[in-house]
Amino acid sequence: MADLWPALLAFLLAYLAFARLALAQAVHRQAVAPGASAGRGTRVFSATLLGSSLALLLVAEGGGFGALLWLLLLSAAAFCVAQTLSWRPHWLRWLLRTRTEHADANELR
Amino acid sequence: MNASRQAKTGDHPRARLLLRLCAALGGGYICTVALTATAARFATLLGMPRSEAVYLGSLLALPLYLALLLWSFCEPRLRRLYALLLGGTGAGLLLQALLNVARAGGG
Amino acid sequence: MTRLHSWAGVLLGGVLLAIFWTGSLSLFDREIDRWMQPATRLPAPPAALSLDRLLHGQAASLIATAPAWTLSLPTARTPTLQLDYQDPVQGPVRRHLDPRTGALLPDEGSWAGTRFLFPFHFSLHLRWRDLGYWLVGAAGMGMLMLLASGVVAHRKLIAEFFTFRPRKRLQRSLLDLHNLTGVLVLPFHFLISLSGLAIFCLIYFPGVAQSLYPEDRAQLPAEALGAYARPASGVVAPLGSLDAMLRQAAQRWEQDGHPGAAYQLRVGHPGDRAAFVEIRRSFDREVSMNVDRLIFDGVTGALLQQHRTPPVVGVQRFLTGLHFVQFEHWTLRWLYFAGGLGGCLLIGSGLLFWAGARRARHARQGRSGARLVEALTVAACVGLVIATLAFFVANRLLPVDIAAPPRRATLEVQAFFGAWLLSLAHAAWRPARAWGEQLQLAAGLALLAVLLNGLTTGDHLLRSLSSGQTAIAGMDLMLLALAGLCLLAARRLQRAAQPTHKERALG
Repeated sequence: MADLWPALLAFLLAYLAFARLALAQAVHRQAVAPGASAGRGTRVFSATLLGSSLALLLVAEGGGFGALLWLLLLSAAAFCVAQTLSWRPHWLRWLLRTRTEHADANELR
Repeated sequence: MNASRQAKTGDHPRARLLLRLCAALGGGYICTVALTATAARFATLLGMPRSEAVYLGSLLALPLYLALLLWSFCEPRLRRLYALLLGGTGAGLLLQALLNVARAGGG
Repeated sequence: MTRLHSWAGVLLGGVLLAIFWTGSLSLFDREIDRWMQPATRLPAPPAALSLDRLLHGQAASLIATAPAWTLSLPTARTPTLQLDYQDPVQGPVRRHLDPRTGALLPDEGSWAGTRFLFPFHFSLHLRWRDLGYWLVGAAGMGMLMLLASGVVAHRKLIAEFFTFRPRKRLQRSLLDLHNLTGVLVLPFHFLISLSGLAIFCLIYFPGVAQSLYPEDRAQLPAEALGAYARPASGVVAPLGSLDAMLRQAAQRWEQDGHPGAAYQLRVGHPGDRAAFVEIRRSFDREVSMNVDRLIFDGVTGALLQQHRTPPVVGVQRFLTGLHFVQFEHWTLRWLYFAGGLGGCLLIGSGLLFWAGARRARHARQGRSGARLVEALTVAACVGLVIATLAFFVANRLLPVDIAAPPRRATLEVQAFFGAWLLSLAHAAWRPARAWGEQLQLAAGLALLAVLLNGLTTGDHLLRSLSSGQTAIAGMDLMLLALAGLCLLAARRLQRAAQPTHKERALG
């Protein structure tokens, strides 16, 4: 079971990255929280998370297995984000909330 | 001018489709083999062992054939399609013939 | 491009679905073997084996006259020692031995996963002039074209990357599912198709090999793969110690910096003075299916030849390994399974969407629509599943010892193809109800298979879960999941059909 942790963590990182990317699109944002506004820095956020998940897998599993696992986990994560948006969009509401809080905090300053 | 061109090319859509299929499936395949076999021969000239060159050529043939297939179905002008495929095949065969002559002459 | 996509999809969809389905199943072919061949349900093999001791037992009489035989060492997934040899009457024979006692396990005469489902995947069991290989190759190249044309045709829809609307009209949901499984799983589909073609690249482009080996084509396997052969001498001599050769092989590979154990031995001319033993290195720790092998003299045990995988061949073997998934990595294996099923969903949803659009177009034009096309779509999708389940059920129902031809393996295969044909006939006979009824039949067959496993072998789900027989438990659980999915799909399709009934009632 211990050898599942890298894959699970990499999956979570990819899931968050794709969820954020999806929420950058208006149609999905409205499904999750109607009236919410787009945040900034989506691309950097997602790219960082995806890059981290790749690095994690390359270190934990080696070159061949790591790269292969990463590619497949990306697809799995993106697919899960799509299913979440279809069946339980409110599960992603907290992602939008943290972003709007940051935006508010920036405006107050 | 356009009308007459359309009359000429739009006359036999089935024949055109058949020609395109032949070019894509048959012509593309022959062109691929000719070019990759030549590439493999060149690789051996650069020092690669024969068995390795065969694998190199056979592997490269896959994306090359795919590219030719896709292009065959996208290229609107049949003449250009045939010209390029036949030209590629001819070039490949010619280069191989030259290499054969060089090998026969040298060895 | 859209037209290319539609035409190629319609022409190749059925074949591709069969390839993706049997391919996904082949990921667990050894587990399917355990399920279909209960005699091989042994516990994990011992760490240390003595081949010399095991082969002097019951196996000795079998291989006494064979000119060559292959021994595959047991692994966690295949806990038996497998002996392959050519019998002059029966053809290729595979027998399993208990790795602890060397006892010959009863020959259950089933081809199961590794000898039916897996070869179906790459050759469709069409042997005549390698037609099957070429069809699968054409389908594979067609898949790459479908992927490329699909992306181009839908490039404006890339924005709808994550869109899946399951509660909408069936056609909308189908197209969403098609786009979803197409775009999101694209890297997998592309790699699988390309690597699959790479495995047989020499067969598909023989002209390249012919050009570089104009007279001595037989040299190619020797140079690239280390294939070794030498003629028999006619002088009798006993075979040396296989265990000593295995130890030497492990040492040799350790010295080379590629530590590894052997997975297979091939013995040529056993019992002859010119006997030789080829020992192949295992690839369960790496992606690439290396062709590292050592050739030993069969009598003296001296090292005759060492072959290391050359670089370019190594690239082809990496792609091969990427496709075969013979390495020991369960996370990857399950992810591949998900990807393969995603491919089935991709192709199936595409076919269904096309059939639905065609039906709507024909309804508008007042045409009745060709029944055969509809029936073929049903047979290609649900019929394939029913055929597989019929194969499993037949395996549990047929008695083990059928001496006279047709033998058990043939009967099982006949059950597979017979059920497939029946599905086509049923779909042609009852087009309106075909989908729902066949999905329900599939669910029923899956449940029957689980029940029969419990009844005929005693390893029902509770027992297999508690005793750690993960292969059997996994198979039963997957069958139950399949039954559930078929029922869900039947319900969804029933719901989709209802608005039209309402429309008819109103208008």
